[in-house]
Amino acid sequence: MNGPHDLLRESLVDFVLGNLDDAEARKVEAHLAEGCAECNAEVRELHDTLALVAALSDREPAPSAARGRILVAITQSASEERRQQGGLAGHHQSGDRQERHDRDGRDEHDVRRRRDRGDATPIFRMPMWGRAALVGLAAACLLLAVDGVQLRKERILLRNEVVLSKARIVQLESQVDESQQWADLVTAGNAQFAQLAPTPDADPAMTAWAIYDPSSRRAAIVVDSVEPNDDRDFELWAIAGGAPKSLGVITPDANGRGIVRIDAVSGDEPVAAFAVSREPKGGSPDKTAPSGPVVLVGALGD
Amino acid sequence: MAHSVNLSVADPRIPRFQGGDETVLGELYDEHADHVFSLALRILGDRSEAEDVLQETWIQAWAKRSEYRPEQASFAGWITMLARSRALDRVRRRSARVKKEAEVGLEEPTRSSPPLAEWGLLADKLRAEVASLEPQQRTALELAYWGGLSHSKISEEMGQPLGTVKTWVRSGILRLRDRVVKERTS
Ligand SMILES: [Zn+2]
Repeated sequence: MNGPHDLLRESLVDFVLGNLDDAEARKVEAHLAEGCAECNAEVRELHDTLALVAALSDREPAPSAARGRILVAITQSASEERRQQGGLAGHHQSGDRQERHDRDGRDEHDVRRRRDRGDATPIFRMPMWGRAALVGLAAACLLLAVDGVQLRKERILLRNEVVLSKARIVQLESQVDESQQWADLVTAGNAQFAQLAPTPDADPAMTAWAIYDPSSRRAAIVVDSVEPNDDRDFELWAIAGGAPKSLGVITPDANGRGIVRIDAVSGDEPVAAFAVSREPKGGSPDKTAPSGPVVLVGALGD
Repeated sequence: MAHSVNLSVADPRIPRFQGGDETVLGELYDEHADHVFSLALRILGDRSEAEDVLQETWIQAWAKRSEYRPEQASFAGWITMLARSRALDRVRRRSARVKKEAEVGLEEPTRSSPPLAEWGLLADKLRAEVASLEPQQRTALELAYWGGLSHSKISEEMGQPLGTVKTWVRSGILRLRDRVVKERTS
């Protein structure tokens, strides 16, 4: 019973160093997957030790421009993934995924109904991310095309993702054509991004992204999972020079997505952050300050 | 346990990350991006390539998130492993280039700020442990970790028997591991 354990235990250092060939690595993975507590604990200790060893080097701050690009690319692929999963009824393994599928499955049916009756509203409108997402997803495809024995496994496992990404790129390309002026916002040399984070007052499902070009003062904000409600509205704010400025009430589409495009945010001070507040119907009576709780907020970074 | 923040299994963001909730990504990125970038830069010695690895690592982390096993690595340990493997793949593809591995060692950093502040004290202990290794053993470890060299390649480079190299690498890493475990449980 201890046969494989005793043998494989000796290989764990080489396993975490990536020194094992595919067949040996698979044996170790299988043994770990069987739940051997001792080996799992040792592998964890070794991985963490190596992370610490790596952390002994000098800190080099990651280029700030990379953040927005990477996170936008991933958010785009996540959004696409959910859409795809919504269309694949009953093919999910974990309870977690099933739950998400159910939620998004309904969205997908809504979308289909809208499509069937010829509703003119675009099904998936986020053209403002076009180029940045293309860059990220093209990188994802390149990543998967990389040579090397070690990547073979990954490639098989990720084949699905590649297909998704390719589909997404085709979709994004058409959207970029469709709305070149908003795509230009992304490629503007000094465009800044913000992911708006939920505050404790937020509905945890709500998410938002913003992009802003300080030179043209053009901005686009996408808010997802906005629950329509007859008693309240969500209002978008730009924070510039330390003061909030209303950019209007967010009107979600049937999928709960609200898109706000501002040709030029008024004022002279650069916008530092965007925020969303929960307000009575029609928005805050005072257009220079929210009257209700701020539910999402995010500072711009390049 | 004061240094265990980033190595915790119980990080509530991880199940959300694995369940496909991209809203936790910003936080995880902010916590680990400098670490990933520093590691890639150290292995590759080129900022632009290191930035590519930074991007590839996060895209890969997202794509492979369901494969991440928290019982086998903290998130930091996992993302470090992904980044190292991506960076080393690039080094291997630079077949014509002179190897940089021997130049980039586990030498004492000129600045004392470790990449992850939470690990500060632990890092000091670990640095001392690294410094106490025999020079040849340290070199073997450097070549194995930063250079990604196989044991036989290290044996060739160092002119030492394969068995000796294997022992150096294995016992060196286990010694560092023991130190980490000891510090974390004390
Ligand atoms: Zn075992």
